Amino acid sequence: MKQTILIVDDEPDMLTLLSRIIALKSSYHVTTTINALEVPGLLENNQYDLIITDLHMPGYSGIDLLRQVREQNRHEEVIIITAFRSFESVSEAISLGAYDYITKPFSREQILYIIEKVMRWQRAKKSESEMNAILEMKPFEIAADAFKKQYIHYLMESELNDPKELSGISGLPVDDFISE
Amino acid sequence: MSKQPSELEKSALVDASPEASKPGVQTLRERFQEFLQLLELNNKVLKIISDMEEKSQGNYLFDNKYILNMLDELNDALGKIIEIMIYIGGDSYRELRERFNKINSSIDSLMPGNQKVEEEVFVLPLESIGREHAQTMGSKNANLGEMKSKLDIPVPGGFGISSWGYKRFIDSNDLQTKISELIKSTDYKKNEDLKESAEAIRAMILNSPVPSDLVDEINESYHKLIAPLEYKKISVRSSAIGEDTLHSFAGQYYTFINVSENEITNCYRMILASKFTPRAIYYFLSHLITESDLAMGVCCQVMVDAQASGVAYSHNPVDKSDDSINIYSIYGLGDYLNSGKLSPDYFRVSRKDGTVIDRNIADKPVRLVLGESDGAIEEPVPENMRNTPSITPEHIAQITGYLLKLEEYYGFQLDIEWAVDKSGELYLLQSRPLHILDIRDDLVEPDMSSAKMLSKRGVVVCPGAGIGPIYHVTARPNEVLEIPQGVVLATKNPAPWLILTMERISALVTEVGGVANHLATIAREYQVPTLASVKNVASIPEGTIVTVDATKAIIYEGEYQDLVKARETEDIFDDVEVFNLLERIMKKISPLNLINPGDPNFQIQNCRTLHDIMRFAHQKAIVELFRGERFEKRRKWSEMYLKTDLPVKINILLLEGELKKYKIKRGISNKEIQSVPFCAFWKGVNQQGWQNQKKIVERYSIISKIETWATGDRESEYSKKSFVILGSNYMLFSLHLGYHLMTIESMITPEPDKNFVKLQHKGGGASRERRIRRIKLISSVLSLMGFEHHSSGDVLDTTLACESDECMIEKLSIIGRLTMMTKQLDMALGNDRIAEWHTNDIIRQLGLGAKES
Repeated sequence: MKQTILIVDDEPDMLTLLSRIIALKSSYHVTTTINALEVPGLLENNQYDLIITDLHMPGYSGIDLLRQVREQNRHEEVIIITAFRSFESVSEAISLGAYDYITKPFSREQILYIIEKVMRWQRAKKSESEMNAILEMKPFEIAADAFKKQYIHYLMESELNDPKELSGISGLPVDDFISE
Repeated sequence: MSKQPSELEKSALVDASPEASKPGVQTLRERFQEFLQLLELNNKVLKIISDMEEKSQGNYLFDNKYILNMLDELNDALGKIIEIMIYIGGDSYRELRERFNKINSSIDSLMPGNQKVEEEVFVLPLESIGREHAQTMGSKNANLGEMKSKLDIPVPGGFGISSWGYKRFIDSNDLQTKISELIKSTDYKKNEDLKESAEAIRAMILNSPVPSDLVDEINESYHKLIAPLEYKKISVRSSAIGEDTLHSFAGQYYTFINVSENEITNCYRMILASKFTPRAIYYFLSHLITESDLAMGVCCQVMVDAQASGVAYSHNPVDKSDDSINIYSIYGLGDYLNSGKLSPDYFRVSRKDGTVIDRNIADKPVRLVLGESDGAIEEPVPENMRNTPSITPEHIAQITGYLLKLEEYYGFQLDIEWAVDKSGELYLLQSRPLHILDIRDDLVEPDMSSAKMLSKRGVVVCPGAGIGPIYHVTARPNEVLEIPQGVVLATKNPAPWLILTMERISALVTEVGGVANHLATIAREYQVPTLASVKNVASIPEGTIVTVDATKAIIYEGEYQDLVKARETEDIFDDVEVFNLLERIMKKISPLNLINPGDPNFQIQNCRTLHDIMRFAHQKAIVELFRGERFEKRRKWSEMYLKTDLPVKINILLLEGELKKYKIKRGISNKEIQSVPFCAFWKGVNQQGWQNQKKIVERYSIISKIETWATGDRESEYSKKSFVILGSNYMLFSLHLGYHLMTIESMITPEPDKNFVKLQHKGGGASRERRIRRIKLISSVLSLMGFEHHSSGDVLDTTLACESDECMIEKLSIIGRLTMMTKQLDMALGNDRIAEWHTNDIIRQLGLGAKES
C-alpha cells in the first residue's frame, strides 16, 4: 500500500510546488490543504505516514498540530516548514517531537531527502511492529500463517508480479500468490 | 607663524601635521568611511540579486514572503547607498533617489494585492474578445473569443462580463469592506466557524443588488445573442482572471446551465458568492482581501443541447513520453464526466495520421439532458446505446484537427471541452493549457553505494548529472570546436569563454569559483550540470569516464545513466504564480544597462533597474569623493609620495591609520604603508621590477592629479598623474606607465563577501592593433585567475569578487608583476603569433599553467 503524506500550508503556491515535486519524484500519495482548521477532521478520519506543515498559520499552527499528534499518540511523523530566523519556534517544535524542520527557501533535493528519510523510518517501524505482533501470536500455527501472509504480501510489492516467478523464488505454491 | 586654514581648507584633505586634527579637517576621512560603507552595501546588493536569480531558476521552493523579504533588504541597502551618495556628492544626487523610487513603484505594482482591476466596458461579445482581454475578461472568455474570432473554430455564440463590471457590483454595495470586517471580527477556532462565515458572506452577496447600468448592459447583450435563436436559454460560467488563487481551491465548478433571462443576474451573483468557500475565508485570515482577489469575469453562451460531450487532450496528461491525442466522451451534457460520476469512452488517437490506436468503450447507463424549464435532468440511456461509442469517427477526426491547430497556434499542449449538438454540429466549449506531470510509480534515486567516488566536495552551480570522459583545459583553445562533443570539461577557473562550450559539453567542473558569477548564470540557463571549487579535479586522469552528480557535488568513476535520469529537472513550476512573479520582478532588478562610465548615457535618468542604480552609485562615489571645492588646494596638506626605486612618482593619499608620524612633503616607503591591497600589489611590482629605469618627472600635486582623474581627463601626456588612495583594507591606484593608464581598485578583508579587485586599463603608445593585442594578452592571463571581463577594443575592464583574503592577496601580487611585465609590451606585439608567444611566456613566468599547443 502506498505511503501517504499530508501537506498543510496557507500559501497555495507552496502546496502546488510541494505536491508536484513529490508526485514527480516518488510514489507517495499526497493530500493537501491550505486550511489548517481542517486538519483535526482530516486526522480523525485518516492516517498518514508523514505530515509536512507550515509553522505559522492562523487558528491552528504547526505547534498545535504537533501537540495533537503527540497527545493522541499517533504514528505520523511531522516535518515543520519554517521561515528564516524562527529559531525559538523551531526549538519548541523539535522539543515536541517534530522529526525535522526545513527553512524556506529550500531546494527540491533538500525536501525530497528529508521526506525519503522519514518514509524509510516509517517503513522500518511498520515492519518491526508487524513482526512483533506476529511473534506475540499463539499458538505457533497462527503465527506461522500470519507470517506467511506478510511474506507473500512483501514479495508481491516487489518488482516481480508474475505468480509463477514469485512461486519459483519463494518455493511457495503458485495458488498462494494468485489468491492474494 | 603658519597661516590659518581657510574654510575651504578645513573641508579638505587629511594631513599629517598637528593641524590635521582640527574639526572640519577630518571630513574627507569621514566621507571615506562612508565610501567604504557604500562598497560593503554594494556587495550586499550583488549578493541579494544573485540569490534571487538563483531562486528564479526553478530548483528552489519559496513563497511571496521570501520575495518581500529580499525586496526589503534590497531597498534598505540601496536606500543607504543613495544617502551616502548625497552625503559625499551633494544634492544633485537626490535625483537618484527619485529614480530609485520610480523603479520601486513599478516593482510594487507587480506585487499581489497591488494590482488594480483594469477599466473596461462591462460587456463584450465573444467575437470582440481575444487573448489580450485575459486580464479584463478572464481566461475562459479570452480563449473562447480567440478561437471564435481568429481561428475559425466553432464556438457557441456568447458574451463576456468583465471584471470591471464585477468591480461595479462590489463597489456599489461596499462588499470588499463588509467582507473584510466580517472576517476580521470572527475568532476562528474550528472549521465550522469558517463554514458559518462562508455562508454569511454568500448570503450578503446574494442579497446585494446588481447596479442597474450593469443589468441593462447584460440584458441588452442577452437579447442580441438569442434574437435569432429558437432556444433562449444560456449557460453562465465563471471566467477566472489570471491565476485566480481562490479558484484553485474553490473545489467546485462555477457553472449554471439552461439559464433563463430572469435568472441571469442571480446566477451572476451566485458565481461571485461561490468564491467564498471555507478555504477561501481561511486564506484571507493571513492575506489581505484585495480588488484583484475578488475580480472575476463571467462567460454567457447559448446552450448546446448536447447529444454527446467530453474533454480531449493534445498529449497524454500523465505520461510525457506519449504524445497521442486522448479523447474522453459521454452521452448528453458533460457535467457527469467532469464530476467523475460516469466513466467515459476513451479514444487514443495518433497525431501523425489521426488513426485510433486504442479505445475503450464504457458502459454508460445514464445521461444528463437539458430540463424543460431550467437546469438539467438525468435520464437513462437506451439499452442499445449504453455500450456503443458515444462519438463518431468523424467527430474524433474533427476534435483531433482542432487540437493540433490550437497546439500549433499557441505553442503549448492544451486540453479542451467539447460538445456535439442534436444536429451533429461539434462545438468547443473551453480550452486551457495542459500541464503534463510524469507520475513515477517507483522511487528513482539509484543506489550508488558501490560506485567509486573520485570527488565528494564542491559547490553546486547548476544541479543535474552528466556523463562523459574528463577533458582538461587550462586555457582557451583556438577553436571551441576543438573540444570534443559530450565531454566533462574540467578547468581551473570559471572563465567567461567557457560560455561558448555550453552546448557541447555534458558537465562542467572548475577548481575555483562559486555560484554568483556570470558563467554560473549561463550554466543554469543552459541547464549544464556544473560544479565549482572541486579542488582535486586536475588529478583525475584525462579521458576517465565519469558521472558528475552536480546535485550532490559528487564525481563518480564510470557511467550511471540511472543517476542522470534521476537528476533530470522537470520544468514543473512554469505556471506557478510565485515563480512568474519573481521573473517579472527580476526584470526590474537584475539587468545591467549602464555599463561604461565613460559613455555620455551613463546618467541617472538612464537607470532602468536597481542594478543600474547600484552601478551608477559605485562609479560616481569614487569620483565624488574627491571632486571640486572639497579639494585642498594648498600643497602643504598633501605632498606625501611613495619612496621607490622605480622610475615613477606616485603621490599617496592616506585616508586611514595613524598619520601623526608622517610629515608633509615626505617620502614614505612601502614598508611603512599598512594597506593590505597595496602591500600585495606592490610586492608583485617590486618582485618584477622595472627594466628600463628612466625617471619620470612629476610636476603636479596629488590634488590636481586626482582632480584631473576625477573629471575624466585621463588621456594624459607622458606620466603626470600616478596616485594611490589608501585605507587599511582599500586601495585605489591610478598608475601611469608610459602612455597607458591602469586603475586598480581593491578591497581585501577577512570577509570574502566584501572583497573585490577591479582593474581598468587603457591607452598605450603603439598602434591600436597592438594595444588590442595587449588587452587580449592581459585578459587571457586574468581569465586564468577567475576574472570576469567587460572589455572592448583597447579598453580592459575586469573584476574578481568574493574570494578569500589570502586568494586576493596572491592574485593582486600577480597583477603587480603582470603590470610590470606588460607596461610597454604593446610596442612589441607586431602580430598575433608574437602576441601568443608573449602570452604563453607570461603565463609560464607567473606559474599559471602552460597553454595547450
